[in-house]
Amino acid sequence: MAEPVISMRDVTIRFGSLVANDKVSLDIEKGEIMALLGENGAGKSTLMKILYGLYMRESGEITVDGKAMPRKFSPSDAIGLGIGMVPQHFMLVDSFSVAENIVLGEEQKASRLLLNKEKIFSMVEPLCKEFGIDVSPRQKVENLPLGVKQKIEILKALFRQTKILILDEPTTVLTPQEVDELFKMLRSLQKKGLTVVIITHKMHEVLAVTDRITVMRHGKHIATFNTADTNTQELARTMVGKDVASVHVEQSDAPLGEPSFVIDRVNTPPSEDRCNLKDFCLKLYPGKVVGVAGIDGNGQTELVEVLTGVRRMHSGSITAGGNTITENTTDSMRRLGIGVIPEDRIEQGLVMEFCVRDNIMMGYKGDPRFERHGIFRMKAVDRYVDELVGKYDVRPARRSAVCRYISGGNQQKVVLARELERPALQAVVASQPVRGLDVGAIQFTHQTLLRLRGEDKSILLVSSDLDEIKSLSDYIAVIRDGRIVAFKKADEFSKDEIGLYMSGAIADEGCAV
Amino acid sequence: MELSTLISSMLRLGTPLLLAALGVLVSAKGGIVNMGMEGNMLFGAFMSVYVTYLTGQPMLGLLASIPAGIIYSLILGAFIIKGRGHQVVCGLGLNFVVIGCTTVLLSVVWNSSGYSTDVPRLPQVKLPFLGQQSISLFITAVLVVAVWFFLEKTNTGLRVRSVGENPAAADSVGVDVVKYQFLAMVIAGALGGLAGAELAVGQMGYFIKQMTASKGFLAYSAVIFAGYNPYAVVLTTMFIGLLDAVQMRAQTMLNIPGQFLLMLPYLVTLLALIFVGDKKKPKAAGKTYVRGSF
Amino acid sequence: MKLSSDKKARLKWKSLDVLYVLVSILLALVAGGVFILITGNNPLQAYGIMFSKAFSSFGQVLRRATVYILTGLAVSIPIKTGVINMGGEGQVAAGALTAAVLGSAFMLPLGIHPIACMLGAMITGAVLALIPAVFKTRFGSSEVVTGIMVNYLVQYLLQYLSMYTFRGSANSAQTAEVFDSAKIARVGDAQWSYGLFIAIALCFAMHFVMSRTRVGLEMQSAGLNPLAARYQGVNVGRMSMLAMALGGAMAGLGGSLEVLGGRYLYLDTYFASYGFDGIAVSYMAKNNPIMIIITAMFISVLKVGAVALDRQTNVSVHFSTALQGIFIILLVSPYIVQAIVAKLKPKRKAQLTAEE
Repeated sequence: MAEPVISMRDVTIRFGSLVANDKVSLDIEKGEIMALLGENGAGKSTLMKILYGLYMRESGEITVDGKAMPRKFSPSDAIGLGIGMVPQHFMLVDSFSVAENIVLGEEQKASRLLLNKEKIFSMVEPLCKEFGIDVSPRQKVENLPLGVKQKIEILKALFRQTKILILDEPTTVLTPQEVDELFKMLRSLQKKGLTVVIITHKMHEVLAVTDRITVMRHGKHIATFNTADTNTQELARTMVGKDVASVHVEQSDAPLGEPSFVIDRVNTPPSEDRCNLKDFCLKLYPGKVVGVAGIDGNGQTELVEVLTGVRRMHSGSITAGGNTITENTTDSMRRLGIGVIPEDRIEQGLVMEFCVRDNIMMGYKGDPRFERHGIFRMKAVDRYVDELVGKYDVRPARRSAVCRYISGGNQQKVVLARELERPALQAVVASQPVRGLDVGAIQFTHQTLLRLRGEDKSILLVSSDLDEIKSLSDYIAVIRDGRIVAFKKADEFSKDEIGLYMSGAIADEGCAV
Repeated sequence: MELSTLISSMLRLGTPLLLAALGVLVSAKGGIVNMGMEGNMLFGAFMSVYVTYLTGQPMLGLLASIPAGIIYSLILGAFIIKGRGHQVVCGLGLNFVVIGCTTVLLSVVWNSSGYSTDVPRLPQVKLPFLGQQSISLFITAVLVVAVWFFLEKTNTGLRVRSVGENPAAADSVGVDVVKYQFLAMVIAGALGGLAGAELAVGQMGYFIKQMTASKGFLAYSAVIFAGYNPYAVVLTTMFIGLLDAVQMRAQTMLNIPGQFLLMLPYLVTLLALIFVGDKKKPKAAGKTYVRGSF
Repeated sequence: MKLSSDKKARLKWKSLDVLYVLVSILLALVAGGVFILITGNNPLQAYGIMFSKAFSSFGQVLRRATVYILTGLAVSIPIKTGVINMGGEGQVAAGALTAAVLGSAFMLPLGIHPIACMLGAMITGAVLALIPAVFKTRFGSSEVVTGIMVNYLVQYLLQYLSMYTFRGSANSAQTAEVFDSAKIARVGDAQWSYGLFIAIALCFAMHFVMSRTRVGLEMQSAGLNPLAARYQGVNVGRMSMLAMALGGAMAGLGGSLEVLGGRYLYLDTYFASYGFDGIAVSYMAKNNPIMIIITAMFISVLKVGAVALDRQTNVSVHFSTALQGIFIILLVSPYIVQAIVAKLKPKRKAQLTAEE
């Protein structure tokens, strides 16, 4: 066995009362590609952020290349030892050029005190060429596609003579084809002597590229496997701790009936930094889940915002239950009977400082059951909220719990309770409904969506996780550059084909619905 | 002749604003909304007059305003960067502290509730066409170029800007966010101190309570109008200086109540805010950065 | 009585909050003491003068507190919606002038006259407060900067109006005294008027609005998370304008109460610093309307004490301004005070165990 280049012993860190890493021990061998596998909240990222100097461990030892690390060190110390990290949310300065981003923190390599832009460009250019990034190093990173931004992040690490490269959930923003490309790149880096650690919760992918797989659960190191000796079943069981029946849709061959919800040629005003909707058409059907797949930033956010009513459409119409609207406000969309689960429950879904009751009441504006002349009927409110807390199993089961201090899964339950219990609910728009949740909460959320499907509601599922889309949808629509470019029955639509539509490799089919 | 006196007084009135605006600019580039510039200037003004009063040397007064401004700015920085305080409210609070303290000290040192005694002013130079100017005009001109050079042409400047745009990104590549934010505050403090000294010993030759009269906030607005560009800041601060100069000329010439003329710089600033949104603001300015919160 | 664990936890949080405020006040007083030492006075003596004067003329304290409660509300209501009302200064003074003019220009029946004056003052304050609010929501300009600009405009405008248009005295820039019909009765022979009760009632009213009504919920959501609020159909811009208008109305009312129940006329620059003091009042109360009643009293004590200090020593009345500034920065930088409290705690524990 090769000498471990990094060895972590009994590393522990706590955030408040949560033990994020509980005596985790891990050896990373020189020149291997290792995956850190685990569901959300298992503590994988935290462990690597400790290694990168972003968090300070409470106890335990870390040695890098045989050298013991002090308890407190900074990212620059880690960089000095050859550790590089590509974070899940890219860390680029938008207003800087590609080259400036790559060089930042190491500008003195170009010249000691004064900023020498030309020299920086000439230093970065060969690196860009070598790794097949076809953008000029002079370009601002602001509007570059996510795949390119990821490569810039990798170049940033390579520029610093990284020997150990950590990638945090690198595949979430990529198409299946881009994932293959990334893995090829990692293989070639491995040949050059790099050690690679991939943090992920997708086990199919890691089987393809890694040498070893370490599984973490609830902040603990559970097991390490040689990739050659393991399989998905074993990994899944280890990851979750028990056998989990994944939720999926029973496809039916019954022909589609009348659409219950029609989005017709919706346009949103173009904006500088975001993708706008261009003649967007989509139909939803009662009792069917339509999954929207696409690379992040191709109009999914705008679609959800239009359906919520926070982004005005400047042409087009939305029809539901015989009502057609051309001006979408939050009130008018609510009158159509739409419940929205926004993609970011912390930023868009909840007021974190509010208690459960206040957050739920936000969704019942003007409901005569709960208010009169704008004054709440506290008894009715409390009774209703208690009922929802019970029905959605929110824990702690208190209406006065402040949302910031309950777990992510329970926060999501509060959102579900508010959005899905509206009177006259027609359609549900769920955007990344399980992002960042643990297995139990994922199951609960998916089951809730399928329950509504069974109640003949129309469901729109927007997700960047193709597996989620594949397993939950009756129909899959692919969104690219603000429009739907493909719409097919889920079981007739292969992942590879979806990927080709996502990346634009298969041409636009226009308003396919 | 009339034009030259107008330009002359525009330069005199605009210079302190320009220095303060440069200070606001540097701290903004480092990610800090500096609403404490008002107090920064006032403290610099007070210390410059006090040191001049003690030594009889206005140049020493000018020099003393630099450490004074830096100390002020470091205190503000400590509350904002280390104490994670609300940037705007901390700045406002520290303004009050300085307004209160300088007024108290005014009566302690000079036994007066309004004015200090006269102190000698900085050497004045008579320039062709531009009239009589204090030598700090030249210092200011050099500082404008220096600030631009620092921000755009040095490695340290690049790092300061990266901290103001995306501190998490800067931190992740080993740029010490706290260090560079404090550095920006030190530079801002020195510039703000000089701005106060220029006002007090450069022009007035005495200290009046609350003599900065919101020049710190006018400077802040000037930076917004200038789109956070050091050269454009020269134009916008001089424009506000010009308004002030026009207003003073008009006081003696026109039969308009003085109060309405005094409103001019504030009114124009207010109206200008309609047309200029704060779009060029560094992305992270005003936000508290906590490592690991991404 | 048995408390649920939830209530206990909340009680603990609240008492911790109070602890931080108290520690901040203590720290500020210590810093202020050091400053007094620098001016060559004895800090203990100085604080002695301040507090004894304040308690010997408590009527004066209550009279000032009436205005402070309202300028405190003028800051705390907008803050809950995420907007800082820096224009309190102008709003108080403009409200005062409006009340003085309405009170001295014509006679109205006894009960109606003060109400008309107060309404006028509230409208004036609200309109002034709307300027920064509109600028913020429409053009995205910082309400702090615009608020301060408006203050200067109002200051000069009022100076002009009191010097020329509404001048009621040959000697100084002031209006005529309001008619008796417009006056708010004083309580007995004391310095303070029944206006204090109006101010206190409004605190409770605001508490009710914030905790029990739709509009209160929406205002707070707009302040805490504007994006999530928009997703729930809250018009964030309208909420911040409403909050600013309400705040401005409170400040205007504060000015009018001092005119109708205290000074009986508008005097130029007499109302300076009431608006700024409201910022300290509000922050010390953690923007809680009920707590504002207490903190307004406290700031009032400081102010009345500082006036006495000014008379008896060479420490000017502005000492209280400096103290308030220190309160504010300590209260908005929680980590500084928390670090100090945390440092004190283990020591106390260690002491306790040592004593055992």
